[in-house]
Amino acid sequence: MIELKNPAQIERMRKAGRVVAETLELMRENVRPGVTTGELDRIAEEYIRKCGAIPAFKGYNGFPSTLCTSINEQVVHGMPGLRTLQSGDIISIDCGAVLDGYVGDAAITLPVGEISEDLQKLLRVTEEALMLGIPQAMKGNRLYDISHAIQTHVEAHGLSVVRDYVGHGIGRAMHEDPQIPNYGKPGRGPRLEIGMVLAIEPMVNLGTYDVKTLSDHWTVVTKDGKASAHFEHTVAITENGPEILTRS
Amino acid sequence: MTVYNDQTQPLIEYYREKGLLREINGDQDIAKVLKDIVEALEHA
Repeated sequence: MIELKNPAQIERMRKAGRVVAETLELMRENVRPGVTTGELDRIAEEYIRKCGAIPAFKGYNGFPSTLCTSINEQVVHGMPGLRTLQSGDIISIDCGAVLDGYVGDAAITLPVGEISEDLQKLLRVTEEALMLGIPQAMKGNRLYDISHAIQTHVEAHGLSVVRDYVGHGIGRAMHEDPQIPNYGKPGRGPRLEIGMVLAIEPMVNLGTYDVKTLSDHWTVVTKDGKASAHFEHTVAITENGPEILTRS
Repeated sequence: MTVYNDQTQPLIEYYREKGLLREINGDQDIAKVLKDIVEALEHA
């Protein structure tokens, strides 16, 4: 069941979203060659707690950290640790925070130092796909209108959309209905209504869309070992159209 | 954080539209989940 949020609830989600957006801005300042993913995680957790919020991922189904840090061929759910970022890497940083009972969730993929042209294109197209999907999140549309807009843009650039992981509704719980695939047919899926809050998150691969999970049970990687990017916003459907709650 | 794409989602929509969907909260203790399933089936 897709739970609708009233304006007071959306106002609370706006505040949770702001904490996430600010945390990701802080990550932009700290991602550089030589820093470890564990250090980024520490900085993020400290900032979230300073805001009076709680990291949403830590302890979620046993996930150990504040951030998911996924480097290069890692798609999502990478665990921060001792790994040191190197020039030429790309890193997806996914962050969630709970404030006043409501969750915000967003992700960005950042270049580390100088990256190849292929990777620049991967990052650019993935973020563009997210920003083309979001305007579809309005009353009267269907859910897969969002999915279709994302898929169309990605595939027009010769890249592929991950099938096995999807976005989600969000509210008091981080993962609510509906599931939001990044592929699909326009005019299909649940009707979108005012008060829905959606975490839209395309994961885009340079090679094929096949992925697998590593033996740590969390880290999702591309099967062909080629790079993957991931961008996400928490978006509320309001009277005035989609509102990005995790915009910095 | 993403969720695993469970392919049953389109079926959930299909059965909901047909009015045949019964939802059970699986996030309770096992005995309660069983009780709710049995009750849903008895009222089907």
